[in-house]
Amino acid sequence: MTAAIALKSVGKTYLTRDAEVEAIRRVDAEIAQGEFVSVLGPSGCGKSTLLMMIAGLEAPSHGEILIEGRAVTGPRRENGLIFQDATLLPWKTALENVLFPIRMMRRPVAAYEERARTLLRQVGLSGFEDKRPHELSGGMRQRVAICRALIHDPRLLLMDEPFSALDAITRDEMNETLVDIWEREHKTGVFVTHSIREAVFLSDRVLVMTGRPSTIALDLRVPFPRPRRPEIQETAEFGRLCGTLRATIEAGYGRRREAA
Amino acid sequence: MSATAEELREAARAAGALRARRARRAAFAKTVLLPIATALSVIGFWEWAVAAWRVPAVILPPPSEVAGVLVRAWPLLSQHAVPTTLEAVGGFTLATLCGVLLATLLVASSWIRAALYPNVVFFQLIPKIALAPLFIVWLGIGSESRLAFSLFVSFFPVVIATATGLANVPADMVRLCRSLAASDWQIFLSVRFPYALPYIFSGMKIAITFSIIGVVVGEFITAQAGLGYLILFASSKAETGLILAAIAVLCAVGLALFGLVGLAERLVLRRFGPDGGR
Repeated sequence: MTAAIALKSVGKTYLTRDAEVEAIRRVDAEIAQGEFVSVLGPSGCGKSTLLMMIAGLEAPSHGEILIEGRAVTGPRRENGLIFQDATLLPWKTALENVLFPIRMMRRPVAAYEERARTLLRQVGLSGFEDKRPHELSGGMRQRVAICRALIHDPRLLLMDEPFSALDAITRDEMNETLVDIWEREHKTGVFVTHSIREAVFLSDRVLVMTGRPSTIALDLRVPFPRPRRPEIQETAEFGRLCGTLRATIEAGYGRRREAA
Repeated sequence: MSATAEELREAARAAGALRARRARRAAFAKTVLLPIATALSVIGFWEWAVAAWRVPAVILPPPSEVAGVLVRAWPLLSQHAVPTTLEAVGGFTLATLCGVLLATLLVASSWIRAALYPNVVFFQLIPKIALAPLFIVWLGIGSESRLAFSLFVSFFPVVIATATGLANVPADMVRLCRSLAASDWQIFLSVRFPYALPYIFSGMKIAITFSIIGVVVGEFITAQAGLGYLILFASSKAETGLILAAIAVLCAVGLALFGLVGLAERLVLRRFGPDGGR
């Protein structure tokens, strides 16, 4: 079976004011259909850049990204994107925001309204369909953003630190919501985060990226079965996985410090 | 019989409501009544001081006399207010349309922006009033020259505010649209333009004030009608009361036009504002 996403020696070099900065040196990875993979790493390690390249919003400097066997040359509508900020249109209601991608794709909005309402119900927002973003809490706004990413039934869900702006309690709730949605919608997911626990709880696999210029330092399989219960976070196995990941990130930092 | 817990809670709620009402009244007195009182006492002092120091009416007539002129000369004043108001509204409307259009072009193409924007900012720095005579030379003494000058004076605030607003859309919002393969035009209509509306209105509020200035300056230079013309005419006859009455009408026109733009802003931002216009 073709990999959902194949990264083939993908690298990215930026041109800044007075130098070339190598953000990503070389990333090789394959993500299978239906797999949920977290990309974990410290801030500024290029993990968001990697996500934007998968989304076709930025081009790699070298290497190649294949999605279902075809090279990425630009944005594809089979992607659903979630950002750190909910980025909802402030003048539109929750329902209208969820339907926004349909409008942008010039599809008949009415045909998707039922799905939009169902998605909002599934993330616990029934009764809030006609509220505008300023009437919703940060967590609720991000739930709307999740529904918006799913409305056109994309095959890939690309998430760029979607919960990092939320408080810890809301964040835990969001993780559980995402696990629920995940187990129902069966997408392939790439989730960028700097939270180790979040990565382990949500993912089938965790890729650890080291500091700039980054490579993948570890590809860790998370063996917990689905459906995932929040209680797995209390197990010794969960703690052990988190420890392995933390050690890898710290080692990556150390290596960078020696190189500097 | 002692009061029940429910009754006590009810009493506490009532007392709280009373305190809230009092606080609201105090805030109203401070933010609305106080500035009005300040203005009235300045006018009162003017009335008193002119009489006490026997200032000749040619230098400064008392407010009561200005009010008298306002009533007596109302047919004349209102007749001259019409062309001034129409030209100001015309200049403002053209400035808003041209300003939004130019700002759109600036945001649409980095080449156009690089070519024009520094020059727009530079033009903003010119004391534009100094160019008024040129407009008379080019367009004659009719209302075209005043309209054009008023447009020229009020155009830049709209361009700069709109360009800022159009560029101020969250980067992720634009990424989201691009990821859906939306066209630039779609992004402009559905995202950029509504996002820019609060900025556009702040530019328009400056523009409406500037456009009146533009028309009056034009009328000072050459006109057969208009409040600016009337002020000049009255000053040539040393009718200070008429000058001040014309200025009062000018203020009223300016306030009314500004109020209309503000009203439009509230209506539009209730629909498109970031927080429902609240």
